[in-house]
Amino acid sequence: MDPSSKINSSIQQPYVKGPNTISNQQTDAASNAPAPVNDNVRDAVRRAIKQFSEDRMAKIASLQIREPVQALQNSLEELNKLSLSYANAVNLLDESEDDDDLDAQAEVARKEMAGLIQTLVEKHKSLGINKAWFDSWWLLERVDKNVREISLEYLTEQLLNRCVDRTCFLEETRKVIEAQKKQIIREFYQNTNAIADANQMSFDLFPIGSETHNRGKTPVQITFASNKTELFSIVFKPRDARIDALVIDLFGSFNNLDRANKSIDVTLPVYKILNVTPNSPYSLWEYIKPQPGVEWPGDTASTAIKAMNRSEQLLPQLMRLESICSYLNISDLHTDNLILFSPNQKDIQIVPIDLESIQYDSTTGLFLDRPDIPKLTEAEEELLKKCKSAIGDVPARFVPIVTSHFLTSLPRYNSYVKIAKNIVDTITRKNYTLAVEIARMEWLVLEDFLCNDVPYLIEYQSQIFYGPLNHNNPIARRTVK
Amino acid sequence: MTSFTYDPFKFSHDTNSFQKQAYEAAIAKTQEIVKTKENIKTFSVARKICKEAFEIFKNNMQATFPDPSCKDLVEITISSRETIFFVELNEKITSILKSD
Repeated sequence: MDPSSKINSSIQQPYVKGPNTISNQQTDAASNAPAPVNDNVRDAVRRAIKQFSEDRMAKIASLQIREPVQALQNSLEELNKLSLSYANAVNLLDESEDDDDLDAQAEVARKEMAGLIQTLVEKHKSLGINKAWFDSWWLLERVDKNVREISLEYLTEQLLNRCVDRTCFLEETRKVIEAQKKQIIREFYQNTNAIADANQMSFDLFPIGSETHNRGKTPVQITFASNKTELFSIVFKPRDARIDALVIDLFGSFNNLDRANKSIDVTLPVYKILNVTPNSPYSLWEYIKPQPGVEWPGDTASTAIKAMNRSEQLLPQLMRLESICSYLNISDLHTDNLILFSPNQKDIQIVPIDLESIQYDSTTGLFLDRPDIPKLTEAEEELLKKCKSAIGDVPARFVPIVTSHFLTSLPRYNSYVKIAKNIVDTITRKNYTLAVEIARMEWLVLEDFLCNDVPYLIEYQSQIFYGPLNHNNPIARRTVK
Repeated sequence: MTSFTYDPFKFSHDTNSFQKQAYEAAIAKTQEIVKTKENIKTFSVARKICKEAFEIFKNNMQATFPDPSCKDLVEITISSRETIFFVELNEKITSILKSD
């Protein structure tokens, strides 16, 4: 841990913009220099890399993956050289486009690099590597020559951490599922003889999330089988799902209302979500199989259903979801968080699979422009009030920046500075007082970015915590007016 | 990188539209080149088309989201699409040019 960046124990201390950041500790002379390379940023990245590589050695020793990780690390050194050659060849070609020799050289460099990447993907499948993990090496040609070296150091460290964290997390998941196996079978598998067969059932893990948090954690599809026959699947999420469960329960209560007490006559999806224990950081979800061959054309459901010519069928469902979710201030319902599910050949349902983000000044994300929703009935409002009150007692995800913006920042060694600043800006705009130094925020984001993780923040009891609640890492407190 | 000047979902929607337009235009252009030209220098041609497509995307983004308070956000979003244009599209265009 960076010794200079301890949490400020006085949580009342306001955030002050100023020189006390990793990024602007440069001298004025340095900041006026042309094409600056921020030495403080580079030093911070190198310090973090040193810390992580030491931590990684400890992790891989316990996982017995020292050999493949070491082999990968050696291969990445070779890849870095090829990536530099490719970048130089492309830059030279850009300067004189019609040169046949340069065209040929660039093509050779491309082939060599593509060949090595292909080999790495095949050789290190067990570490979860795929071709897309190397995209940033192709983009080195677009990075300023002065910072190519540090960029490669950063990318190398990020990829190694990604592999090791993934392995650690899957190992942890396997242990949790093994311990919960009987409960899972009882709760999610509709077969009366199943418990007796539990010992005969095996399970496989398939990570399914588009991003990771908190050192490689991501949702995992768990598929149970017996004698090589697939029986059922669930989804394991490495987070508390009490809010999601409360909202899905509420959907059920809305469905049970008489027609006269419904503002919109639509049935909402109801499915099973269980926390492993009441305050557990793990939850188990009924697996909702997406309708095969049907994908959302875009990020926003209202636009996507228009593009799919399904407005007539799906708009009432979307309005119903909007009326409930907007009341509860649930946000971040972009199409990655919605599944199109066919309970039968005729019908199709929009199923929200992530209802954890509560933001008081955001839209739900279901519509581009807030629609006119029919007025809620008294019975509906009563149910919503009860649910809102219950949600208020549960830790909720705090999303300071749209997830896609985090994801797009991950490949750049210096983007943590802007992202940390943006998180601080959002927090202060939302009437919170920062309780840590800005340098500490930058360091926390850098640690996440070096593991290719999207920062995960929790809002609970008027405080914002960085990372899972059990890490007890408060970074801001609601401003008392 | 203020995020309130533009609705994040509309911003994301428009970004994806601009990306799609530029991407599809680049593919169409490649297919036209394959039909009409011979002895194509694959690497250079693919590179040129990708750069043009990326520039179109970038210009559309900057023209549509000019608010200075969102400059960082727009820049980060533009650079995030480099993978789409310089890796994915490049691979696709190279494959089309070579399949001739």
